[in-house]
Amino acid sequence: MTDLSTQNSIEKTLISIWERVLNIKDLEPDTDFFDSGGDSLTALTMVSMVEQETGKRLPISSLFENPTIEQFARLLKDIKSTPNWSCLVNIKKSGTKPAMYIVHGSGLNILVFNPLAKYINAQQPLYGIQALGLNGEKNPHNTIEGIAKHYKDEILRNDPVGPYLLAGYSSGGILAYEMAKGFLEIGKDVKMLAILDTYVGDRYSYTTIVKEFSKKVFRQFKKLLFFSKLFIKNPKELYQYQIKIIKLKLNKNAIKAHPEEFPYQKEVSKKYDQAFSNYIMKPLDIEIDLFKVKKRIYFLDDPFYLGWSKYAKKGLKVHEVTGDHKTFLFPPNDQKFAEVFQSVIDERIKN
Amino acid sequence: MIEQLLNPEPDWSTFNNYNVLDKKEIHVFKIRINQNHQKFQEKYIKILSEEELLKANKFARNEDSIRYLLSRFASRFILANYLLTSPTEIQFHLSANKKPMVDGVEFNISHSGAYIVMAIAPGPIGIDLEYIKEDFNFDDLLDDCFSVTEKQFILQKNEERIRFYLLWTRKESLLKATGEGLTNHLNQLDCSLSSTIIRNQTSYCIKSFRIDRDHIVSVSGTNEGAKFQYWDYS
Repeated sequence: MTDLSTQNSIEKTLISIWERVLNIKDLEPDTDFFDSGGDSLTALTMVSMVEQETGKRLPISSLFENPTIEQFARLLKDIKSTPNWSCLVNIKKSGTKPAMYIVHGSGLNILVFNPLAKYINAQQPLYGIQALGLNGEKNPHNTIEGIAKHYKDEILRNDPVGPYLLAGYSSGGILAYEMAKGFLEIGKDVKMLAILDTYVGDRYSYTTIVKEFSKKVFRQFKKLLFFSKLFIKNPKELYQYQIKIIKLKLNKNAIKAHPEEFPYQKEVSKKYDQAFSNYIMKPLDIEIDLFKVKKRIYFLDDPFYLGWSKYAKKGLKVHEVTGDHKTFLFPPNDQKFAEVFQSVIDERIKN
Repeated sequence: MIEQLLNPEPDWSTFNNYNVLDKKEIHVFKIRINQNHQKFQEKYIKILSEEELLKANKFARNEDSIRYLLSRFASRFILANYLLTSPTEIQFHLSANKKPMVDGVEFNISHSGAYIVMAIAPGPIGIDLEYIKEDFNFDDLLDDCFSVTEKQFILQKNEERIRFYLLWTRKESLLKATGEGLTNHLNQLDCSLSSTIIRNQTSYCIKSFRIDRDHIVSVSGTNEGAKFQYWDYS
């Protein structure tokens, strides 16, 4: 994806696009689109090409007031990427039950929730929450509190009333936990807080094990980030793509991403990494459903409650699911997990 | 169905500056660029304003300068004829979306390929001309520009390119007539498949025809039933 960090780099990108659209050479920053043979049809083509290359779309009308490369670049620098870009991704739309919001785990892999959509109850709507910054925009938050508030606000915009069902996969469990806190603070009803195999055992003694563990988690995160570009353009297509990739991945560790393909990986993962290590968890007045895998491949100092017991002041329920940390959401474990997950959801909604 | 929307090229009357333009009718002019530029270029300096002559120097391409100069020259004569004044007295100003306007008359201009076209009418009027470019990749624009039904119309077995340009000129001429110009949500405006459209509580008629084999013109106006006069400027 194109470098959009400076006025100069945006102008360069625009010059190359305008030269192609207008079929003209040696454009300068003060070149006026309409003085260079541009008309409405070429304007539209140009805006669409700019969107394809930068992920940002400016309204056609803005070109009339800002007809030079320099002016148009300035606008492009200021606007946010594709205005309706949202952390919320609708995985399964239909259903009469309260929606379940699942926070990404170690990265973009909210798409790992896709198999879940297949087996979950037909009446159960499902949303995934993807990491901030994946659209190439700067993630404005460097704390868990900030990120969680952002997610919470997006959920509130989507459904201002509630009740809310939250889940977090892997490191996303911590975010879901902080989001639940935010909902409780504004008097909202959180019917369920599901932690999907997140380990928070003794976060404050920085043992090498914990450090190694989080490193591993983030390594996974980085691998998956190369989907970001595709994802912005076409989430649906990416779903299908992702499913293929996941299948591949499960068979053998076949994915090697090209560094050019995930331009934001460093920044996004660095920010989240920083946020996680600075976060201090405080016990919360809530009951937690902990879904933990039977097969544990990491060595952990609290394999029973994964460190959660002291944070759930209203109690912790443990639900065992088949598979290991990486595979419990995928075939052949996905159906089983969906059943367990749905039964707990239904139990929670009843109360 | 394409024939229902796209008329063959009309018969043009030769326009010279002595013709009287009936103010109840819709007048459409075609101005062949090369031929008229050859004929009138020496007169530009006498008729055009200093501002216009300076503006002509700003175009990156010579053909755009020529087209601009001729467009201003011919429209000054046509408007002067209509307003019964002198071509040098015409004062252009630009609307918010850069549409040239003159007080006391409704007109609109478009250009593409070998022609400039202009329409004058008793009420709001929009005209759009497109040269059918054989190598223009319109596929990527379909989603942005057209509604589902419009796309269905375009993506039929034959003449996709002509269908695209036909609907595009219809839509753009309508948006020029309403004064909206290119809106940001073109695909939400499902307008180009009928000959009468209600937009902003006003009824507009859209008429399309060919010029030569390779140009399409659409005219949108509010004056239902008004007679069309076609003029070849020379």
